[in-house]
Formats: sequence, C-alpha cells, structure tokens
Amino acid sequence: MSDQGHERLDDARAACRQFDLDLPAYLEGEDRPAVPAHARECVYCAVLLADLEQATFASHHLPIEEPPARVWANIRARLASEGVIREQVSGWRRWLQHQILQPASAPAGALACLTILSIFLLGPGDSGLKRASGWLSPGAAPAIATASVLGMDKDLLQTLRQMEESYQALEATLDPDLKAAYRQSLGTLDDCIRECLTHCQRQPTDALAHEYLLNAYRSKAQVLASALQFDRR
Amino acid sequence: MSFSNSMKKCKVAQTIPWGSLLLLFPLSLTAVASPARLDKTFETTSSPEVTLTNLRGKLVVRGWDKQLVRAQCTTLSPRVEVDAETLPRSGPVERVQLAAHLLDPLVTGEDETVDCILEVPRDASVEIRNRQGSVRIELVRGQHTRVESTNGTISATDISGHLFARTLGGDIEIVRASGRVEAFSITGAIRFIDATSKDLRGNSNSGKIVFQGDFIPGAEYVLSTYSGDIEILCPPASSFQLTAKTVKGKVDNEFSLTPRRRDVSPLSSAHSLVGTSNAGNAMVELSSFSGTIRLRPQR
Repeated sequence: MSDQGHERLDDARAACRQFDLDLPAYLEGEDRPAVPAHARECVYCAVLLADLEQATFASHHLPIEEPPARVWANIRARLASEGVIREQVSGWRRWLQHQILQPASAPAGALACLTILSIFLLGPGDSGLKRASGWLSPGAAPAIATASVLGMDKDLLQTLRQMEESYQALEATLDPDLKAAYRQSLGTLDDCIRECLTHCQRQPTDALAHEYLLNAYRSKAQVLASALQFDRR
Repeated sequence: MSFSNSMKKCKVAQTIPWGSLLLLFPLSLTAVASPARLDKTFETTSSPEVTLTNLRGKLVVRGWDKQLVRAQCTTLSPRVEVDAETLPRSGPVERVQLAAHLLDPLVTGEDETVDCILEVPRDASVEIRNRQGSVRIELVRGQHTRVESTNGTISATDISGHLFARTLGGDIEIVRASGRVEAFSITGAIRFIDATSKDLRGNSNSGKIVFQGDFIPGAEYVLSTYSGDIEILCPPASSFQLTAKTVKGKVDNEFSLTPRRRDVSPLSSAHSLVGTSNAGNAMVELSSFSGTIRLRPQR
C-alpha cells in the first residue's frame, strides 16, 4: 500500500477511535457533532450508532420491573468476588474480606469464623446439599438470634443466609452435571469445615488447623459466588 | 455505556453449504439438530487480549506465529450461537471476545455443546471460561493466561506468562510453565511437570498434588491440600529449603535434609518436617490437613 493509502487508513482509525470516545456522551445527550458526522462517513460506526440509538429508544419504552432478590445477590456476589466493591462495603463483606478472604489474617478472624461456623454448620444435617446449606436448616432463625446474643454481626449472618438462599434458588435451574459438581465441592468443603472445627475445639492453639478452617470457609464463599455467577443465559 | 457496547459486534459466519440443506431437508423432519461449523479469522496486533466464554464443550487454544486469531467452533445445536466482538473496529484488533450463548433458553444438556479450536498469537493474553468441559491450552506466552472451568479438566503446556487455572471438580495438568503459576481445584488433582516458574502455587481440597521436576534457584513453591496427598518427585541433586506441615497427616521423606540454623527444633515430627537439601536455593512450602506429604528423588 502507498504512503498516502496508509495515511488515509490511519486517519480513518483515528476517527473511529474518537467516535468511540465521544459516543457515550453523545448518547447521554451531550452535544457531540463529530459523532453523527463521522457516522455519515463510516458505515461500521453508522451501524453501531443506529443499533445503540434503537436500543436506547426501546429501553425508554420498557416497563420498569423490580428484579428478583436473587439477581441482586448474584451481582453483589460477583462484584465482591472480583474485588470491585472492596472499598465501599460494610458489615458482612468487610468482615468476610478482612477475616476470611485473607488467610494470613489470623486468630481473631479464626475465632469469629469458628463461632459462626459452630453455630450454623455443626447443627443437625444429613448429607450433600443440606450440609452445604446449614444456614437454611429449620434451626437457622434461633441460631441467628443466638449468634446475635454472642455479639455476632446480625447483618452479616443474614447476608450469609441470603447467599445460601440465592444458591438454593439457583440450584434448581442448574444442569444436573453442574449441580453435581457444586454439590460435591460444597459437600467436600463442609466435611473439611466440620473436621477443622472439631479439631480446633479440641486444640484451640493449633494455628495450622485454624488456617485450614479459614481457607475452607473462603473456598466455600468462592464456590457459592461462582455458582451465583452462572445464572441461566 | 459499557465497554462492550463500544465494540464492533459481528456474528461468526456459519459455513453451512446451503445446497446441502435442500438435500437434507427430508431428513430434518426426523433430525432435531445438526452440528454447524463456524470459522472466523481476525487480524490482530502481536499481543491481543483474547477471551472465550463457553457453556459446554472441549476447548483447545494454541499459540501460533501469526498475528491472527482464528476461531473454529462446532455447535451441536443450531439454537446455540457464538458471537465475536472486536476492538478496535478497524485495523489490527487489540481485543477479541468470543462467547457462546443460547438462542433458546430451553436448550439444555449436550445441546449446549460448542467445541472450539482457537489459534492466537503467541504473545496474546488469553482468558478462557468453560462452564462444563475440558480446556487445553498450549504455547502461549502473553502476559496473562487465565483458565476457569466448573468441572472440566484443564491442561496447560508451555505457558510463559502468569498462568491462573481454577476448576471445582476437574483435574489440572501444567507442563513446562515458566511464568508465575496459580492452580486451584476443590476435588480435582493438580499435576505440575517440569515447571521453571519462580513462583508456583497449587491448592486442592481433596485432590492430590504432584510436583515432578527440579526446583529452580530463587523460586518459591507453595503447595497445599486438605485431605489430598502431596507428592514431590525431583532429582536427588535438587537444592531447596523445605517446610512441610500437616495437622493430622504425615510426612514421608526420602531426601537427606540438614536442619536450618534458625530452626530451634530441627527436623521432624510425624506431622512436620523442616530442613535443607543441598544448598537450599529454592523455597518449598508444603502443607496438608490430613493428607500424606511425600518427597522422593527421581530415579
């Protein structure tokens, strides 16, 4: 290609990039005459602009519906798992991040975790998912009350329960193979949590066991978060 | 506006010979769905970011010496589609995002299957998410390589950049990795073969972890399981400082270790082992709650 040809191509690319930069503001209603001007010259950008304008128009005429609670839980879990909302969180997520999601953070977290898990996971349970969903057992409400008396963050406990509820709601829609994989993973982690708890109760000074307990709990939170990401598309 | 909205969106062309559809029309009365082959090539920069999100199927990703991304996908059902988005919209592409999605929410099970072979420039950064099914990736040396699956196996060979591999139930095999490596599985096994990484981490809850190969001077290795065993197979001349700890498991060591100076109580109990092999040039930290940690010289 000649030098002039290259220059024309470069100019075109630069114009398209500028179009990309200006497009959001243009669609928000700001005055960006370069956007429609470029769209008249570039067929690709014209198609994109037309699509987005159509989508914008259609969205203004859609009825507003409140999404189910599960959607918010999914979004929250996804953002938390990716660390996007780390700085803005409070309550349970701050606690979870500082005490659970950082295994090196230590005995205080271990103790808090131990107490919660003792209350919610060591309760009566059968096998598989019921064990994985210990917070949802019939005794969950009294357990939360007990935990509150013990000084546990009530919001934290409720939110953890919501995560489990969200997972249970989602599980029915999962492919059987996928469901089996999640059940197996959650079951394995609950076995781990139970064994660590038993060990920690017997040997409260065993730092390695506490570390394993925290890691198991962290892994369980990650598994639940990943399940909540996989909503049906 | 979201980032993806600013991308040029194009549907991967289905290369179905239309003439054959006429011939097959009578058969379609009984055949519910037939596989469709999709083939698309994008001209890219030398180090594009390539993302592939899939629901189910086998994915193979290979680095090659061309500044092109080529995606060859086979869908089992016509109600599943693969979309491709690229940025920028003109000139060599810096980002390619491929995603399989359902055209019909009632599609389930095997019908969701999309098998893909993806060829990418060697310096590409690659991110692969395969909900169900295996991922094999090889010969990629981009800055980041990230592979996630729910229950599929992950195999990564000759990856040079930061490799992150995570699966719930699948096994992970990593061969000749030379960048930073992180591998996580809940119930699957993890196998590292001939790694030359300076920073290698592996964690499985109930799966076994095997490390086979020499330890690199200055490198750090952290392997951990809950109930799975950990097995180290390395040359007798390997040089490393070992910290092996278990809560209820045991440590089975066939190397000759000398106590480290700073350790007050040198070696060993049934549950832990601390010591140095040869000059102690690499740091090796192994831990398991109830699994057995074995260290054996490679014969």
